[in-house]
Amino acid sequence: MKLLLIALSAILVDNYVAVRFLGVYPFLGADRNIKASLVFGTAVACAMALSGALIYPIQKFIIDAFDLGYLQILVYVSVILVSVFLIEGLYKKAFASAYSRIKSRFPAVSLNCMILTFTLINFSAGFAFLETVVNSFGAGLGFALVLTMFSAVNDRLFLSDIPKALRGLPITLLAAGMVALAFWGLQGIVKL
Amino acid sequence: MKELNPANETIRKSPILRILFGISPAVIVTSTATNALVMGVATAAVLLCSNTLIAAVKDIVSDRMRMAVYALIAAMFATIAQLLLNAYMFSAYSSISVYIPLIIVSCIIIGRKDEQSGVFSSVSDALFIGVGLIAALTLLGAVREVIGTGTLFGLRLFGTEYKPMLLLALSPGALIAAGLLAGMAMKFRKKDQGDM
Repeated sequence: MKLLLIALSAILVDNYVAVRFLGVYPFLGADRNIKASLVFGTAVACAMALSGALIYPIQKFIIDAFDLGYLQILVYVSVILVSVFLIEGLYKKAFASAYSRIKSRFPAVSLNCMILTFTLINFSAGFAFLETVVNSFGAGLGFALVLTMFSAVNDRLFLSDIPKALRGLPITLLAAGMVALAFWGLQGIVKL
Repeated sequence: MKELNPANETIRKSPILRILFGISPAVIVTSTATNALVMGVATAAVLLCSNTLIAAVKDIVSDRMRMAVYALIAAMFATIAQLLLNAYMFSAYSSISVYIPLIIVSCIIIGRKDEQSGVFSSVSDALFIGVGLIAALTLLGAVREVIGTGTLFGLRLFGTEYKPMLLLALSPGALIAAGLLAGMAMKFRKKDQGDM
């Protein structure tokens, strides 16, 4: 039950992209194709779950045990790069057609995983192994949800007549602000 | 509207766009002008150091590994920045420590310049972009702090009857303020650069 609550909280209520909105970079990479956004989002979710599973033992049995806190950032970055690399290999082998859609955007997968993971450090301090993995995966799924929603927003933006100065990045940021505000309304539904 | 990918050629060539993309992971820190300034200075310093080092080693790094090497170099300097802030500026450190790793992401977004020719040109590039980053983040922080809480660098600006607009102090407000400021920056871009 607690696992379900953690997942729900990570996906909807405390959505790390919209509410903590540290994944602002992904919004900017979102394109109008909902299918590509879904593939991209699930790749992030899988990489998040994998890196969460790898980071937990490293944090507990190496960094905490030997008091190596100053190596935390370096270790996390390495683990994330390795997990994204593994997920990329998996996608290449298992989902070749989906992989070809987002091939050029795999660097962005690792950037987003870094943003999400660094946020999670501070909100999952007391979690056990399974809870950490569920929380990481949930954060990734929340990312996929926001990204998919946002590709629909982009679709609408594409058809609308935007003032010249606001075209491109500015209107994307403004729209992202509106999406984040909508998620803000879900605050307090789940209490952990 | 073309795809907003920071690796895109037009974006690579425009300093304003690179600055705007570079600050986007860090906008969360801009709730007060002080935090934004500290974060901007830390990002600029890490960017300068990692750009210098990456330019020096770029010939011995293969294409496939470039991003990994860049991320690790930026992570090293971000750790140094974290330890320095912790030692010498503890009050600022305690409010932005959570977000220091995001410097790495900013640096990867701005710093991955494939046509980079030498150490000197990448140092001057990093200096230029770094000053822009500090200015953009501080401006964003100042706007949010004045409207969202009614203070600037911690000093109260208005009388007691001033009602702050909470929206700008919250995280969605950061995105909205950043969008409006980006719109202003676009207005002042040269006309011939066209749409993005």
